Amino acid sequence: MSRREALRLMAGAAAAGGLLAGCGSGSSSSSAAQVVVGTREDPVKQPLYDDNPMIESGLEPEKGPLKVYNWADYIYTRVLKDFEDEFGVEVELTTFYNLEEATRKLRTGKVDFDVFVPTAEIIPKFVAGKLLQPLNRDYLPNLKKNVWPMLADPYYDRGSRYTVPYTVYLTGIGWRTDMVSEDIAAMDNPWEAFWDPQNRGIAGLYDDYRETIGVGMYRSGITDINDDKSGDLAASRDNLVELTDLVDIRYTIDGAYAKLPEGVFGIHHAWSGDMVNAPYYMPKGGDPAVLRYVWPPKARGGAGGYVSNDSLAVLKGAEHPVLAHMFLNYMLDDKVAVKNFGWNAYQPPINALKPDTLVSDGMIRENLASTVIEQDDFEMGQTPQQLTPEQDERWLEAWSRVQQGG
Amino acid sequence: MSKQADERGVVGERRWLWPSFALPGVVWLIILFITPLYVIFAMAMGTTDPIFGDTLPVWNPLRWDYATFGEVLNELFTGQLGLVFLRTLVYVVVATALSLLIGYPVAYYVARHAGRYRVLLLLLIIAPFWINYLMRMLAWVNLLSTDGYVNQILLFFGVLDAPREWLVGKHETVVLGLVYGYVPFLILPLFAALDRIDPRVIEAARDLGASPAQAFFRITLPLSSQGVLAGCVIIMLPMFGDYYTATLLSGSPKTNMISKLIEQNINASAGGSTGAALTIVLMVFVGLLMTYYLYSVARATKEARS
Repeated sequence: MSRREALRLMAGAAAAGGLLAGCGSGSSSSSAAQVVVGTREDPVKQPLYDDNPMIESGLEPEKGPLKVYNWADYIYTRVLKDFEDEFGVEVELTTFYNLEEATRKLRTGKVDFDVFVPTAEIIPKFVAGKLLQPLNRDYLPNLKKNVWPMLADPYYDRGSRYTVPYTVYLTGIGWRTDMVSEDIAAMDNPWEAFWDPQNRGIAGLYDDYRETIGVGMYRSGITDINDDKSGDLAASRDNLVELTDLVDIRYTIDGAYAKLPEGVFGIHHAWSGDMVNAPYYMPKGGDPAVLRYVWPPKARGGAGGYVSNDSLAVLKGAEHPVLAHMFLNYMLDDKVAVKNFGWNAYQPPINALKPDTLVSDGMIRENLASTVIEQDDFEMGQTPQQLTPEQDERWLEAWSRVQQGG
Repeated sequence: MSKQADERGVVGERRWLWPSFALPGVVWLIILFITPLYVIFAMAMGTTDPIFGDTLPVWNPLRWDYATFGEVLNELFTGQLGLVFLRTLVYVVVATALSLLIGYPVAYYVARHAGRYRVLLLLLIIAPFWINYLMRMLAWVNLLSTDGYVNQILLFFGVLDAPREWLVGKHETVVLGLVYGYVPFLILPLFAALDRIDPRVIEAARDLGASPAQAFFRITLPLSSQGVLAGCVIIMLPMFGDYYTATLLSGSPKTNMISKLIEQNINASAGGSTGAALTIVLMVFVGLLMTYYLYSVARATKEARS
């Protein structure tokens, strides 16, 4: 085959993929790829493909090493060590800093990681792109036994065909009572605190367009964060542009867990797990009791807020798929999940971890009790869903405008 | 065989021999420069993957899609993007000028007056580079914080009445960060150029009645102009591509440089094409600037000689 023919074939395949992606959803056993996005109102089963079978039941685990590809600092290394000891294998951890980087690497097909940590949002793409292999649930007894029922059979992957949940998170607001006088949790719309000129010079948002464009929408009372009905995106963009001069807003990725306790920020956009971590970053002499957290859907005014989860999955190209299944099951063990939470600070959706006892057991400080996540929170907040490529482009365009300043 | 033919043979051999020495360089250039450059073009004019929504490079120029590139150009001339380019240019030009003001005397001193300490001094200039750039910038974040040493010192000497918030979207902080980060790269080529100047030339100027200032401006400065040029080019190029200094020392959209926008686009699945288009625009922009710069300096050199 000449290079020209190869090019034409590739172009044709891409066009065909585009056509097929456009038609219908639901499960299918054909090998044509479809991005199937579920919502809580309209849950979906992820499609299975003939050319992507699951492993047989009752196989012996491979000798390893198990290759785990995870976010940086997102698993307790002692838990990995325990797994090594228990199964007599080695675990190799490789980390990444953003999903784009990880996705690109996985799509080359030249890497042989076994376990990956996709966000709930990105799972449909990963399934359609055939990067994940279907799970054989015979190896995963802990899923039904230990995991919140809602996430043991989640809306984005009914029947847990490809993933098991790893951690849950909220996106809210963290602040310090010694720098911000207002009780943000008591505001009608806590997000409005970012537009308060009193917080000039001490306010920060995440440098993450999917998260932060949501903040711009919530400020205007828009809660449909996955769509752009009647110019919601433009409203968010204008709100965020306003912040640049109004409060000298800064965009960071370490602002909540590291710089808020350092006092560089007085108020920061914050993932729940980042706030659980924040007291450990308090400099000597600092008082972690000044830290506060609010997830606006649970506050008085009932404004919007993101709630979602990360998951664990076995990659299609895994060389140790049986061992990988055992690792997934291991991470859903009550004791292991709790031990991992003690370091990782992102809460696993495990029944044994009772939200009301997390504070009394001393796992979470009392002043940060609002970082604790309950199953019902998924009914109150909004889950970010996979945007279509066209939407994604417009989201990014709005974000670029915000980042241009002036 | 005639003598002439013999000579031609030798000449022929040479014609192949010497250019072949360029082969490793050419191969290097093709693998590490031309190919990546082509990938950037193929990305900028690429298509969107229907599943992942990210950019797929299109290798055949006949199939290139110029829509994203057009949008970027449109945004550049009618939208806010031009402002970001202008901001980047101002930061880089001011930072380069300041680096020159700081770097020239240092290089001059080390090259001409440091005597036996010159090796030690050069070593000290390079020493900060044993520490990672990120670490050095993080150190500045501490120094410049509201209760940091910079504010404490300025308050002590009465330069400031109240602590200044250096890290909240201040242009001068980013420019100073750039100067700090890149000035040693300017000093080294400048030192080399100044060191090469034969001291007897300057002595001759003084013997012929030039004042020290005249000798400097009419002899030393023109003779070191190539070093100034090299140093400026060496620091300006990475400065145009710098996004981390502004991110660490400010984080405000007010101080974002063009490379920050490129980074944000490249790190989002939908932004690959825009990011690549911005890269090309930046490259052309820097290329034009450098061409003009080189041209004007070449002309000045020619005039000085005639």
